[in-house]
Amino acid sequence: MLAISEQIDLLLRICVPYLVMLVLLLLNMISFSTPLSATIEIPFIIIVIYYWSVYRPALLPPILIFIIGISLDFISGLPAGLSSFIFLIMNNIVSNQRLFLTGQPFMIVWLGFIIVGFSTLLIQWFLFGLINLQWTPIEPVMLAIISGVLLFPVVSLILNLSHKLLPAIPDQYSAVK
Amino acid sequence: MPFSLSVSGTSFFSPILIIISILLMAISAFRPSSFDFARAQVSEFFSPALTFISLPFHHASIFFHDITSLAQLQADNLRLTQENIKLREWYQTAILLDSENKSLRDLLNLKVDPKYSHISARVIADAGNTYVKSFLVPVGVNDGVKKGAAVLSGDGLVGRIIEVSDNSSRILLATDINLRVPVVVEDTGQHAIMAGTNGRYPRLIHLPQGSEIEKGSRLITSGYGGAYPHGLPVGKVVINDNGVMGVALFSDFDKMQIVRILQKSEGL
Repeated sequence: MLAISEQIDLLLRICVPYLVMLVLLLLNMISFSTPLSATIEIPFIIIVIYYWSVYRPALLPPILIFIIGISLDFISGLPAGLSSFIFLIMNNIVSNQRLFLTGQPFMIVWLGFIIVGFSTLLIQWFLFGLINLQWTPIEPVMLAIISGVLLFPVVSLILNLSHKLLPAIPDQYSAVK
Repeated sequence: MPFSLSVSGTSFFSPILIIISILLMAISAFRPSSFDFARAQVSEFFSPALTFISLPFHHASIFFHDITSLAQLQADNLRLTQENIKLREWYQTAILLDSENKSLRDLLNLKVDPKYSHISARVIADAGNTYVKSFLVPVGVNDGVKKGAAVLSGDGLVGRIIEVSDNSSRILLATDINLRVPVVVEDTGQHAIMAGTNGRYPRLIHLPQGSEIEKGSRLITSGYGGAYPHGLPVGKVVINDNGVMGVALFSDFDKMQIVRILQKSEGL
């Protein structure tokens, strides 16, 4: 049985990754104007789901992924269920590959993200076109993928720092890389 | 152990949630308005946090724009001073014409278009994404905003209100792929529909065969369908290399801070 102070300490440590997640979710909800005047939507939340699906799946249970996806759909004006669907599928695929990914150097994990991120955003684009009965330009999707891939190391670093605050668990694959 | 964070993999809930997501997508496809209430409530819930988080980026964007345009300021200042002198002369002419118009309308007993008032609002978040181009504004039903209202900036048409909650609203921008605006070429009176493309330039569609619209012609709303009042400035005609006609909007969405939401004045 943990003492009260230890429980509070543990609670605060667990809150940090969720707070980081919330900030990244909010950043995902806004578009950024670039000096070239094109707006980019950076897929921060895909990075978050990928990272935690690899390193600590229990931190991001399916119900939470569903809520994140639905919130994103509602706030961004996307068809309800679209983001939650692709996020859950992505979580399932990555979780099944985590035994391989957790033991790999960062470059391989990054490469894994490039494949997963690219597929996820492309499926999202395809489903949106199908539901909307018209295809939207593919260039902004490519721009989002490229921005996500380029920012992956930075966001991973932030997530990694919040990961280090979490209590260690007796699992050989959960070690912080 | 009060907080279990052991590795459990995906739970058996996952397939159920995936099926629920598919059902929600199907409902969205066949009845897109089913989630309007939920969308409005979620937007309202997130709008304070979005305002807070987007503020530094918004200011940085404006600051960057200001810095890069400093060199142009002096030239602009000179041009504007000269324009101001010309506009003062035009102002006198406009007053005369307005008074003449009024007396002619009285003579003809003409039923004039309903008068519009407006609600000004600060853009709190560019909540648009790769697929949907929209803005959130912190005014809603409590401020008199109605769904479908036209939205303007200081330069021209911005879009229209598609969701309203008590204290926030979502504006679908004129560039969004789902927005259609009936427009008319100011000089020739030729009608067309401006259709968003999710790109920078909306397209001009439903043009009559053999129509000759010149590059640079000014477009205003035609008022057809009643969704937008007649005469709102929209943009200028641009023609790409393939001969497809597009519209360069007067409104610049990248540095937009304040918008005006039009509403019909009561009693008219």
